[in-house]
Amino acid sequence: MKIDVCVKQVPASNETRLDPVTHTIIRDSVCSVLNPFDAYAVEEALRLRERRGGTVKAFSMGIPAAAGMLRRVLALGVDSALLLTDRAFAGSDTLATARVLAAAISADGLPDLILCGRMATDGDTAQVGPMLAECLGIPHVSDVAAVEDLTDESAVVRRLTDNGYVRLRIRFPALLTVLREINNPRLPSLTGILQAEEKAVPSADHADLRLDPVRTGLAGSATRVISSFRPVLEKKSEILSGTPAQQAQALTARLKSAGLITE
Amino acid sequence: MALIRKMSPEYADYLFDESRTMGHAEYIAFPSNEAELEEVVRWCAENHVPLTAQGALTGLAGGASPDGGLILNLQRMNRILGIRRAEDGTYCLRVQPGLRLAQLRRALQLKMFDVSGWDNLSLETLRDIRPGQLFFPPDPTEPTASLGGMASCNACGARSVLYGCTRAHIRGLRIVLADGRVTELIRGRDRASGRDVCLPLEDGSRFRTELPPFETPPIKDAGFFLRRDMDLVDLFVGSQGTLGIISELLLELMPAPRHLWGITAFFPDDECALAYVRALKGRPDPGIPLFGQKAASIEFFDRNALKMVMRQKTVTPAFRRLPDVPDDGRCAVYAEFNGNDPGEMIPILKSLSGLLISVGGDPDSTWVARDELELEQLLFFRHSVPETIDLIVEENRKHEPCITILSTDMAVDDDHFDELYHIYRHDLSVSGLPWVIFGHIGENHVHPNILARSRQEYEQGHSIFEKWARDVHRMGGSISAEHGAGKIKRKLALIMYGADRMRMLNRLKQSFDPDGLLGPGNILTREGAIRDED
Repeated sequence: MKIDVCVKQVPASNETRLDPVTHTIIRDSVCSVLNPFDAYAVEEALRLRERRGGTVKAFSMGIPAAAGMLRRVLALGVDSALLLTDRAFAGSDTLATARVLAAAISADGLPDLILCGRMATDGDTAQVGPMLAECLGIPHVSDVAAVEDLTDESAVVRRLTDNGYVRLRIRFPALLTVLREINNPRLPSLTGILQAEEKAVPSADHADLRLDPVRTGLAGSATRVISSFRPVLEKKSEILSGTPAQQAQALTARLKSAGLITE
Repeated sequence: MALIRKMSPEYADYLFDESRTMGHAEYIAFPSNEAELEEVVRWCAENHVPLTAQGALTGLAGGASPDGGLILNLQRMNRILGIRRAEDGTYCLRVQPGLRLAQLRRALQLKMFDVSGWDNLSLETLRDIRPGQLFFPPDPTEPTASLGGMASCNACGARSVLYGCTRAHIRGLRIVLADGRVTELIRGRDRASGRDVCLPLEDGSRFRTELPPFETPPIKDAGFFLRRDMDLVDLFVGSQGTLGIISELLLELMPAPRHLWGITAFFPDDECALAYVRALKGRPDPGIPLFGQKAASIEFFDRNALKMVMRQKTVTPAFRRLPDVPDDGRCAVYAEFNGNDPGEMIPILKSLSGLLISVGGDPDSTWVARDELELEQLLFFRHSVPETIDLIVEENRKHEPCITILSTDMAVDDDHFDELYHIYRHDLSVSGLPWVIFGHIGENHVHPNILARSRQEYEQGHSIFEKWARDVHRMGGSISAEHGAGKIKRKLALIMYGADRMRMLNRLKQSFDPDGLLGPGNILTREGAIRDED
């Protein structure tokens, strides 16, 4: 079975902080790590390989330093990796990113299965996986919580929805985006790290992938970031006073008026 | 006085610490600054009410469990008050005793300080500091511990192998004495002259006393620290609120290492693990390659600890994320290395791989953490052991309320550790009691824990600890390396000090606290004799 897994390097923390003295945004001190959601995709790829045999290859679009992150993925047991790096890819939105990944995966020979993390912790869009599937013209299932039945031609997956789980059979080639609950990612072994040190992490640019630069990067992006902000979770609390009976009455009235309970 | 409240059931959670030593009290106070703290201490002195200082209640020896009188809870004194750069270039942070270690770490890591009330010099000093540039090295297992509590028992934690205990990182203290007067002590400035102690007090007066004519063990210190010409700061670090109450600490910060690597290796038996640890400490063994890199921490997990955690993983949802122990792993050693250049890691790992093979370990099943997220997993695994013990003790207490955590932190030197470990193993194996051993093997103080299920087992556990205290005393070690003697280990302290020295310590305490109001029941046994209730 040929499995590809897409990974991304992200900042270890996405917290925006202000310097308490200068009140400017602090940009340093945050190291880069493998997108935590992608760790589940890598782990699932390794587990599926353990079930059915085959190979796992990791793809990442990023800056040259992302090679270090790919080497970390190799240390987990991934067979090979390809870094897609080019100034022409800079500023890519989710669509442009999906195009680059699709070109690299097609050029390498379409696998049976592509695994992606549900989303990246820096952008939170959850769009690249499904877009990649569309670019490749293959089916996909997002938010996969388990890969149950697995054959050479298809898999039965459990997908989380707002109303519970649904079970779907999907024919290969296909793409899955996976949830945290799908597995418990392994830590690299000492042997794995030392072996990964000996492996090459090749890279490819737009010319290698025969991509027109106007279809990648900022130029090829369908969206523009106008501003970014951190969603604020607002919590309000109110203390009800009176006897327990009065408090219960007041609480019931509030819940009714908010439509959370009925008579 | 509004500050002082009568005890009521709503304050029941303040009657015990993490050890589950259940105390009793008549009053409770939550001062939020030094002036209020002074006021409470003066009220206690005037009314002859004993008082027990409390930080975050994470102690494991009952030091913060009140023995009557007033609970002086310092959790509201949790501010960082300012920062200075000392003449030697060291950054020193002024903090209140109720500040929690986790809050301090977060503030330093993210450079997130509440600077209201800071003076200009502090603001200027802070301006040049980058997030994550500085850290406070002591790392007791419980990051919610308060800084005052850590100083009070001289907490150590795993990284003391490289960085030393809390004591080594405290440059100054402000102390409220038993009569409410305040002294400020700075390391290097305020020292004993021989055994003569003279504390400068804020009101311009001086307090004089004399140190007992003996020195406490050189290997870690349980309770009091005594040396000729000693820094007076050290007299209060480790004394568990028996000589005075810490109202402010001046912490020494260090440049933070840029990279931390954690390696958890599994072994087929304890002897392989002990050989690995000896090699990590740089002790030569025939046939074992020399290992030159100094670890920041070396932690041990015995077979029972691994089995206990894996069992708990199946029942506690929070533990489901724990990695699975390899099938042939009978015990494990976690070693952490700190460095500033990522290129340092591969040579260390290559040496470790050779070392592991030579002692019977397996590099294929050895976990390595190379970044914050991976390290969190290994530290979570480490933390899950005491967490599981907590859960088991809590469960056992439902049937037998007298049960507390039965954990030791005795320490010996490198030459005696293997002997002590074999004594632990032997005595526990023949006891028939449930037990686990884990902890700071790098500094020769692992934590044997007895998970007593009945009063009889609990008492049997205490007897075993007393036997070990005699063994450790014979080896020149210390009965408590980091948790403090508190209330649970007073008997062990008496074994270590002997009756004569215990009397001398009581006299020292009496000179500071003539009415015996501070930290009643901590460390000291009366006049060197064990009372019935001791």
